[in-house]
Amino acid sequence: MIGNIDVLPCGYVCFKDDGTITACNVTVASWIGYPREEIIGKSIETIFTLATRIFYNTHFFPLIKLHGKASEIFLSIKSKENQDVPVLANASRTIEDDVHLIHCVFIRVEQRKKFEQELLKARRDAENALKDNKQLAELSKSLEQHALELDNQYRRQITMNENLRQFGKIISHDLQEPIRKIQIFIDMISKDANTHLSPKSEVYSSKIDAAAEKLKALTASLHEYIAVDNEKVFSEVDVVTTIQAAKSRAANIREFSDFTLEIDAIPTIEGYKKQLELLFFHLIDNAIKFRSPNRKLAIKVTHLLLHENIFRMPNDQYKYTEHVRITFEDNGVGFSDEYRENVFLLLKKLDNSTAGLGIGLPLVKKIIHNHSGNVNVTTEQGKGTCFEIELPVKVGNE
Amino acid sequence: MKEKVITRNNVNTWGKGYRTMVLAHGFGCDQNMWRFVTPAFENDFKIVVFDYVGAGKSDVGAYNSQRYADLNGYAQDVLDVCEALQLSNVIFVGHSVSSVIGILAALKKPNYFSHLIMIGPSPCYINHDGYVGGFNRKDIDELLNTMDSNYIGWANFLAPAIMKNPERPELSHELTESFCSTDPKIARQFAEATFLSDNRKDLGKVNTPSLIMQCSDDLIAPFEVGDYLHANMKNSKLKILKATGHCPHMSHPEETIAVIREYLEGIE
Repeated sequence: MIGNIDVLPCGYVCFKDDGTITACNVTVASWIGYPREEIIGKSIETIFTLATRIFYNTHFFPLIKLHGKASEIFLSIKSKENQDVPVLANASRTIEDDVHLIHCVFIRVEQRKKFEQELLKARRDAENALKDNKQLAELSKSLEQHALELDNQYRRQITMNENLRQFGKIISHDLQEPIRKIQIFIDMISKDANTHLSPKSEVYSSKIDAAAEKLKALTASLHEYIAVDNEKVFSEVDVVTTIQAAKSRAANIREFSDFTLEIDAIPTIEGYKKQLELLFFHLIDNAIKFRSPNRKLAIKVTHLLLHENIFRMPNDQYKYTEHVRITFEDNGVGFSDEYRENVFLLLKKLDNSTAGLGIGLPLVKKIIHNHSGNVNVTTEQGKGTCFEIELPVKVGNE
Repeated sequence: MKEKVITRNNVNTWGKGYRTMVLAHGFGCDQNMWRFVTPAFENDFKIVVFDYVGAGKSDVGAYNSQRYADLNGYAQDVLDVCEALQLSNVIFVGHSVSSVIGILAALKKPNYFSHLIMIGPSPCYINHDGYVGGFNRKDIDELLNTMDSNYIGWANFLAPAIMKNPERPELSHELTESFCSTDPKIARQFAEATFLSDNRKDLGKVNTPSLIMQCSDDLIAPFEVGDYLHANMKNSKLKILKATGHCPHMSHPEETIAVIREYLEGIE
């Protein structure tokens, strides 16, 4: 037999899993400021402040439901006059006649609450001070380390850049010269009235000429591949206009314009303008080269804004910033999935009978990496190819 | 990587069936909260449950406060779990903030997900001009205070250090007993990431079909929020539950199971 709950020097409320209050004592009713009859049948949530209600839903109820009890939980009861009554709650869950009941006792802790608040404040201040200190110490340590690494990288970068510059010069000048000479002399041989080339040698000489021609094109492409890094300044790039410019250029060079290009409203991004144009030029050029003979070439470029981690190296650095995922889709011949890894490799052609030198897609990948972006390709033979390019909308800090 | 994710996120799998159901807990709890509904599906589905890093029995040492300051960091946990288990066409069931986490994950990797089932979802908890989220900034600050008060008592026995104390089994026993408990600092950051998030702009981008399970009288996700989601998400269905409160899968498991089952039968 339960004694008189009304004389208890604490609040008591009993409610069901769905929150319906089935009993309460006058003590708690007097805090809330409503007669007991009006409280019974209402939801337990109605007696709490808003913050306590959130806490009840996310922590208190799950805890009682899973654990069967909860103790020493700080909550706030809301009085009729909208005053907070801070309480310490203990709860247990029982089953009576197949109904689960949650019994809850509340002890008013106004004084304690003040004390707790002060403790909390002191702890928070101390924590913040400690955190600031610790963070500062860690920061300065990692800054120094980064500075060292950067310095190292910078030095290596300078050497590498110098090498590349030399290399570029060799490709664009020194290599061109012998190639040009080969072509000139082959031409002279064939034009020289005094030489009588056998039909076989005629074939050889035209093969030499063709090989020299290819070498010339290759060196020009390699030069393009290296020279792309010369652009050093970011600017606001209107992607849609850039794609359209790339389209005109590709259509001119390929002398082919019987295709459609649909672009959705891709936002402006920060990037290397020339590189981005080159990127889309090669994608469109590629689509033209590998169009299907069975249907009119249709290219569709769509976008999606996402938040992705701006840090690309796997060293536990995170900062989620806005990225644009540009999907470049064509209905060309596609390629076999097994070559997926190969398409971005330099001079790695999937099919030697096709046009091109194998420089376009590697360049695409390089440009995307220059923008701290990512690229993925999916394809279905005979159906088309789809490039998913992820680029940060802003390169620096937002 | 695979093994790492399995331990890191305390991933548990069981059940039979060729389709996979991934259940993601919400703020304030861990995978235990699903135990009233999973028995109903384990004969027809492969069930996958996990704890977000920082919650339940996950590896607290893997917590990264930069990553988990953003719901995208939590979405990466979901993607990591899917990748580790090589899942695709998953039926994703998310409670509360996990609904939006599921949305973010589905935007990043649409192929991983076939359907999103969202229990008590909200894309934005704070009211804005013309948008009813249910709260204002002051309410959220008070919530953070309430949480701080409550962690005075919990902080000591839930400090992350005990995770690394295998030589003191009595501590881990205590930990097993303390469901739904999180390191206070992590909980606070999760609360901030959750209640201060605004993902309204992402809703229109989702193509994955979804079910919005809207409870009656849910403080955390009021009716207006359910309507807003439904109006802004393609291929979404809105189901109003008789269940009240924010945790129908715990307070009204039968109805929750029935609604999920009805939706799944509709898509078979």
